[in-house]
Amino acid sequence: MPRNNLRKPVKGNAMNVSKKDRRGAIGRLVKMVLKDYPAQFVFVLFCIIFNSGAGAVGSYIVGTVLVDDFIQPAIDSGMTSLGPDFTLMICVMAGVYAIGLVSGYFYNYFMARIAQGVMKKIRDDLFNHMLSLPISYFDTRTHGDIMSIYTNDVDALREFLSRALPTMASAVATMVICLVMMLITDFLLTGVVIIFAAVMFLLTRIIAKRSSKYFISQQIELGKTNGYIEEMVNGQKVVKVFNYEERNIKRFREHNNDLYQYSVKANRYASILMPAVNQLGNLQYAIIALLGGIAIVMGHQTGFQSFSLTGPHFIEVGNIISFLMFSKSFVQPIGQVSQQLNIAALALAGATRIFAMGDEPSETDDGYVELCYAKEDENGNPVESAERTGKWAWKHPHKDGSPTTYSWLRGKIDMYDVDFAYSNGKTVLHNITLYAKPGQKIAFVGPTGAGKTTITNLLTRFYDIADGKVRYDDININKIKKSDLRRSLGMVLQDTKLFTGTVRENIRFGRLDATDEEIERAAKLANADSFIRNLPDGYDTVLTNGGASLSQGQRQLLSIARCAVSDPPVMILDEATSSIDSRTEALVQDGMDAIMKGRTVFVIAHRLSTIQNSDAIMVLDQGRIIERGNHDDLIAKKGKYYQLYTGHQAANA
Amino acid sequence: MKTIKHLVHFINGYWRPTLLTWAMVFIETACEILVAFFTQYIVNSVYQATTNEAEGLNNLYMYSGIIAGLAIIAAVTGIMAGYWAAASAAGFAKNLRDAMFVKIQDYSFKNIDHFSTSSIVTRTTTDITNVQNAFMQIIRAVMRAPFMMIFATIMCFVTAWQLAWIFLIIIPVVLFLLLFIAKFVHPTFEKIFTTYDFLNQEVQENVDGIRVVKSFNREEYQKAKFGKVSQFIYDSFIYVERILAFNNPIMQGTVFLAILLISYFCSTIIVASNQEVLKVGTLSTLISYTMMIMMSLMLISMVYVMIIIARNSAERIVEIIEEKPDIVSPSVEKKEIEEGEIAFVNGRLHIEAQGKKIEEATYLSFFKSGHPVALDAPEGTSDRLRVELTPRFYASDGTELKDIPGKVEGNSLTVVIGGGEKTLPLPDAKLKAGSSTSVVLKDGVLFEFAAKLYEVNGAISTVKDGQVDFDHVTFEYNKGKPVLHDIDLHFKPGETIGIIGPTGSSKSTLVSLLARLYDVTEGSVKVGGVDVRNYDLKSLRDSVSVVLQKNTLFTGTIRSNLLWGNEYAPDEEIWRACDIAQATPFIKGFSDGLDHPIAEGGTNVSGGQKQRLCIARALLKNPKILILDDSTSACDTHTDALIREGLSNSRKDVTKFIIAQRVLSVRECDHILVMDEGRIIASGNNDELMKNCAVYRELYESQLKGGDFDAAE
Repeated sequence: MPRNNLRKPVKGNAMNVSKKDRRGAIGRLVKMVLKDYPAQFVFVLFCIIFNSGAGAVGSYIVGTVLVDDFIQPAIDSGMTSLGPDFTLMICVMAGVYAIGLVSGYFYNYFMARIAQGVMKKIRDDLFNHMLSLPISYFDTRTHGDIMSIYTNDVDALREFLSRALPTMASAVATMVICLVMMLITDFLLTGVVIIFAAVMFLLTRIIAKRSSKYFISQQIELGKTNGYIEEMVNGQKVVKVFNYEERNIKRFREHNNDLYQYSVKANRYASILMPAVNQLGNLQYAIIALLGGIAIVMGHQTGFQSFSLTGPHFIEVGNIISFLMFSKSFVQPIGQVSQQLNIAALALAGATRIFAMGDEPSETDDGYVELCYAKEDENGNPVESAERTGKWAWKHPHKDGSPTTYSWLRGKIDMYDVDFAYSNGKTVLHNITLYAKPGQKIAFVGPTGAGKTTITNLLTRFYDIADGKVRYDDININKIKKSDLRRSLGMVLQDTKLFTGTVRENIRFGRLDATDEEIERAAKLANADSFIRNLPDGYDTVLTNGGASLSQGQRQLLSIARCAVSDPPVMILDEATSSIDSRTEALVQDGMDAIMKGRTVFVIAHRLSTIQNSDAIMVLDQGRIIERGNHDDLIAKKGKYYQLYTGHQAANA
Repeated sequence: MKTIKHLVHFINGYWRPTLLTWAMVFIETACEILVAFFTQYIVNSVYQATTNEAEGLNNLYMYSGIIAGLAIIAAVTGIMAGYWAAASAAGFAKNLRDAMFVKIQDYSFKNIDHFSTSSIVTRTTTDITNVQNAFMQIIRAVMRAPFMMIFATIMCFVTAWQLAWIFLIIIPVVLFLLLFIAKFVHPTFEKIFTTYDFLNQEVQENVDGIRVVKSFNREEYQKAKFGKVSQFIYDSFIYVERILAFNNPIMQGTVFLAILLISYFCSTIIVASNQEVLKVGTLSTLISYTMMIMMSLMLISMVYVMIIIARNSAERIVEIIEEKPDIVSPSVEKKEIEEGEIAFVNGRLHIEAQGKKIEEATYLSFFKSGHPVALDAPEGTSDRLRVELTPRFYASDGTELKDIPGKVEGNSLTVVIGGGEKTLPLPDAKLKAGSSTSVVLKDGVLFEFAAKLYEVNGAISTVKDGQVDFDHVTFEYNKGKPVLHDIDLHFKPGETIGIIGPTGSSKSTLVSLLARLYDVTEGSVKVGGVDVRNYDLKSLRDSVSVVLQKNTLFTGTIRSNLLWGNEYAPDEEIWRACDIAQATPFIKGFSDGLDHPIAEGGTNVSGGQKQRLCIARALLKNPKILILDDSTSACDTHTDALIREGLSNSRKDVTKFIIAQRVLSVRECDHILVMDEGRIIASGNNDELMKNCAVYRELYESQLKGGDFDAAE
């Protein structure tokens, strides 16, 4: 589906961004250009001026020079040829045009270079910055909204920078140069052109303002219709099952008819503009000729003289010919610019959103304790090692200059009295206290919304606690560098995310320097090796669409292998097996059990059978731990866990 | 080209505005050419005024008047052209959208799978917008450009045939260059846009998988990966721009060259002939024509690019429209029978016609007054008798009460009149084919029904009962890869069948054959003793209600969603369905009850609530066969049990299929099928399977070992 998503009608895009924001966006864009391309930008400006100038000078030569200085005198003096000066003049004209053409090429080319360069920078910066944003950014908006910045906004900006901006720049340059040339030629006729230009400008403004109102309602209606189509096509199988086709068509047609009405109205209004502007141009043409003619006659009869920058003068035929050409060149840009204004408005609204995302604060990290590979020295204390040793240590640099100390990574995690609230202020975790000894399996159970996943979010510091303490091997986790903290925690989530690329690359995602052998070993450990080998290209099979061609279970096995290859001392399994059928689960479970050996593991599951063998089970409800203990303890306690466990059994009996 | 031909068809109904647009464009263009033509006279008049003032001025007045007049005509016709073009383009898009949407309604599951839902969505939304925009631009340009070019060239000959050669050389050269550039640049653009998709996909994956990226510290790696794609786009753009940047200079250069040549040769001729052959004004006019010809060339190259760009979209649209729905109702012929007797006695229908005597129990059916209800006497696909009954109600003052919903069930008639539901015994009646009979109900309301008798051949429109037969069914989605192998199963109406097995064992596929969502590859599937391929699709699917595994609700209210099951269902009926589906308690919990809004996809209700609403919706169809495909997975075990209990109590005659992951959901079924890899590896009831089937026993034990915390919902 190439490029379609790029052209998605932008829903009400220009509307929700204020004028001030848009101005700010212009400023920042200009700054970006000036900072990275100062020389090229100046060069482009000159090229635009030369390019527009060439046309205007040419028009001046044709009328005022050729006709008034060569043809008229030749005719008046009865000569039948124009002589070498005329040929020279034509050559001068050719020279001027040639300069214009060359600068035309350069300005187009360099403008494109600048535009593409800026676009690349914006894209790269945006993406790089996005990856640095805290998880809360992604959790508080729909992924569709984030994507729309890349697909709609960046694209609108590209359209603007590479197409609309050069057109507008050249239009403005042309108008200015034409104005100068007109003033050099004659004031009186310039006045006529300016009056017409003002009328056209006003007309354009009025029509554009009105028509944009209709366009907005058309866009809204289009959004509604497309929304309906999208919803219904997505539910097409349900439509078939319920024989809803006829009713569906009836409802669709209502939308389609409305859209038709709005679309006709919007385009009708918009299409007034071009013919009106064009014909005003022709009307102006007639009036210039008429006034010019009258001025010539008056010049003859009353000695009427007009003025120009070069002083008073009699209006001549050539002046008028020049003016007829100028007036066209002067007026044409008005239409061009007005056509680009919509694109510009969209682009600037987009730029505002792009900059807004760029202004979002990145995830901060004040941690200084690092993770390193370690060897044992003669005393059993950790020593940093450059190579993988299978052992890890925490590296504590000290600000007071004392030597860096090392401590073993053991996988002990403690939470004391932790409270947590998402930004909306509602506390979702209360007084969470738990101790995970190295190598223990800790399970969280409880209904949806009880706060199980939130606890793991705090361990990975995707979110920061509001109150209480979290200690990792007795280190305050706020003091551990986030990247090192996360490196030490392997995650397998319910909803497996795979990336476009080969199976091998996806597993290697866990640790970039993993060798092919290590990858295959991890796959074997996770029970994924056999199905991978059955894929068309084995480990080199390319996965697309998040691995849509694999079954859910297979994707899950890959994500376990990915976790295995990263060989983390602590693992978090969040509903890793809940949407897999029992038989596949057994397979996945075997894979996981193999990996969990010797590691501290946090497990979230709703099938109680998965977690029975945990060292400690935390029963959560509404953000509180309501029961804790191992399976036998909890059964003995006869509380909520017991009730669920046995209640279920009773129902089966 | 074929695509364009196909699309032209969609202008139908909007040919008037289209042709008017073209006519207006024709006049507009002609006026503009004439304006340029008269330019020379106006300039000449100015020139004349320098020597012969009075005559010069007179001519000047006249010609400026003419030009002003032409400009006004051109403005008016130009605006009119836009006016009609808008209607034409919008109409075209409307037709296209309609054709696609209607076509998709005929798609079978296989057709939908063929394109994939997301692809159909893009085709029906963005692709149409692309084509509409292109059409809007092209409809005027397509006439304007050639008109203008031809007119202007002709006028050049008329004005100064001595110089027309300049245009004859320049036009083809420029046209060639422009089209060459467009042709050259386009494939690279295609490549860039494909890369764009790739880039966006990168972004999408990173947004979706941000937790994975962050927990594995893969930010730098992903940045590098993204940077590579982004660099590629930059390089490709620069490569294209190097060529594309010639576009403007070529246009401009041509204009400049033409002006130079005209200036030189025209001036020479003017002077040489002392204004006899060519005059000063000729210079202006020729320069104007140059501009016009360039404009039209630019338009042509723009149209060319537009067509190239829109072509892909257009092709994708045409693909949708040309796709052949692969499951369609068999055709049906019906012939009215004039002579015949129809009688209702004690809820049974007796027909006597064409020497045949038939007695059938009347089936439960919903109706809305004024709309006929068909009852078939099912005797194969040919020479069946069909009674069509049209119920009507009249108030005591004789006015017809329209669209009164009701149902006939056995020998009772239930109608909703005056805000309440009333159940009455179905009056016995005897009437001739083509006649009507009436009875007075309570409150002076007259109930009338007209009966017509038909002889019907072809598609059967009544499903007799919920008997199900799979006769040696083999099914494959893709040729040569069967996913169901020789399935032979037979069930009586009212039985409950549980199906269990791992993902990919084709449980859903098996039951989807019942509603003819797919057609068997070999063997046959019979419902009510008749091959499903002989039924009218609508009737079949009304009788076989499927709650799909991936079910969804639609924007609207709870009521509007439930009415999908039966658009005439009165509230009482809706509540009854909700009671069985265990949806009543939570609906009652909403202050607006059935009018509680539902967001797209039903995202504003919980998974369990959504599933219960989907079941209620399916129950409202009053099916003879009900299929629950993993439909209670998000409901807790208690609710799940209540739903099953409700079904077996109140829908005794309905054959029920229950696909489940939980053994608990199927263990009480009359038959339990254990499936694996498209085969039934064991069947029987719970006790039998516990005894004979190791797989079942294992599943049973592994699942019932622990509880399920969703129970806390």
